[in-house]
Amino acid sequence: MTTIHVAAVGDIHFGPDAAGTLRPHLEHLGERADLLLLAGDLTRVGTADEARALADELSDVAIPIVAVLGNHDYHCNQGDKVQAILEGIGVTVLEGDSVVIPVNGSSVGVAGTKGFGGGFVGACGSEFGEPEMKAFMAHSRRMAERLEQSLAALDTDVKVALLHYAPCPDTLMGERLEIYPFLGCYLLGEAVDRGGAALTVHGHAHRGTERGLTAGGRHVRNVAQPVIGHAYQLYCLRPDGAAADPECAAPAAILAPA
Amino acid sequence: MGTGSPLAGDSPVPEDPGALTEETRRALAEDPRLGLLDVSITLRGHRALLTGHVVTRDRQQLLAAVAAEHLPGYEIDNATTTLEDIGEPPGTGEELGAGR
Repeated sequence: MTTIHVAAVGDIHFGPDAAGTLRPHLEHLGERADLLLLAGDLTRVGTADEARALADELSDVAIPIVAVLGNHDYHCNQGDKVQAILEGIGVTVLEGDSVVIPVNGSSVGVAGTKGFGGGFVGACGSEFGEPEMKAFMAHSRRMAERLEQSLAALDTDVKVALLHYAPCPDTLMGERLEIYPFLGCYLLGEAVDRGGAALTVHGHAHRGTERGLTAGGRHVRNVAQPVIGHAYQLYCLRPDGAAADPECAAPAAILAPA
Repeated sequence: MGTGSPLAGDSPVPEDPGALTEETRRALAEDPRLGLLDVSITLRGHRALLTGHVVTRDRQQLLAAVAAEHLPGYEIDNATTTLEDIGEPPGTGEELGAGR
């Protein structure tokens, strides 16, 4: 079965002042990957000008691009404009929904949501007390519920979850423990496990760690640009979980099927 | 009764480095020209070490200027990285089994 090559990066924090810096790294991306995932915080503070600068940079990328927005993309209350500008050049922007991408006779389903904070098992907030606290946790729960529904509805060879916030604490290692509740929520991890995503990519945690697992043992990768240290990271997915493709020379460990 | 309570001294209270760091960190996040949430500030002696990823050289320079405004008397050691410091990943990728 076809090996699916996924390129992913988050936390680009692009703006007009960065014009021309990303494009050279993406020129040959079509020869290396079948799709590009953008894991939120695509802009500095979420203005239309910043989104246009990024759209110009991405306009020549020859493979499908799927994105979610991050907290920075909402800062100036222009999230709708940021989304529309990216969609204008053909980027699929997900929020609680999914897209199916055919790849050489196989299919990849990508379900995406920004996600939200709340914390992890043993130290997670709850919908209790002040209206602000209840709203915070309800927002996180709704994001996770929509992710699970979107994943469950996919009938594809491979399912991938695209998030901005983290679904497990593993990929936050390096961040201060005190801020974990602002970096992700275990409800997202539960959604990934129930929905059957083989790979989840997220960003948001600039000082975190690339590799982790959900409670159910599914692969999670923190692709925040400061973490991966590259313009993007590459992952090879075998829909049948078969042995390594010799053309897919991993620079690091080969992992067992999820 | 002696020279009085130590709480009644008239020497100025030294600024708490923790509070100074936090005030600067908030300024970097809330400055509309920056919006930087992940710059780490470490105060040691008379130096302030700034680390993190700030994408562009312009933002790197502006960061140092804003930090200097909030950290008077400190020498700014700006060790942040930019997009110019990174490139494409090596190899063809990490292989992940995707069987359901």
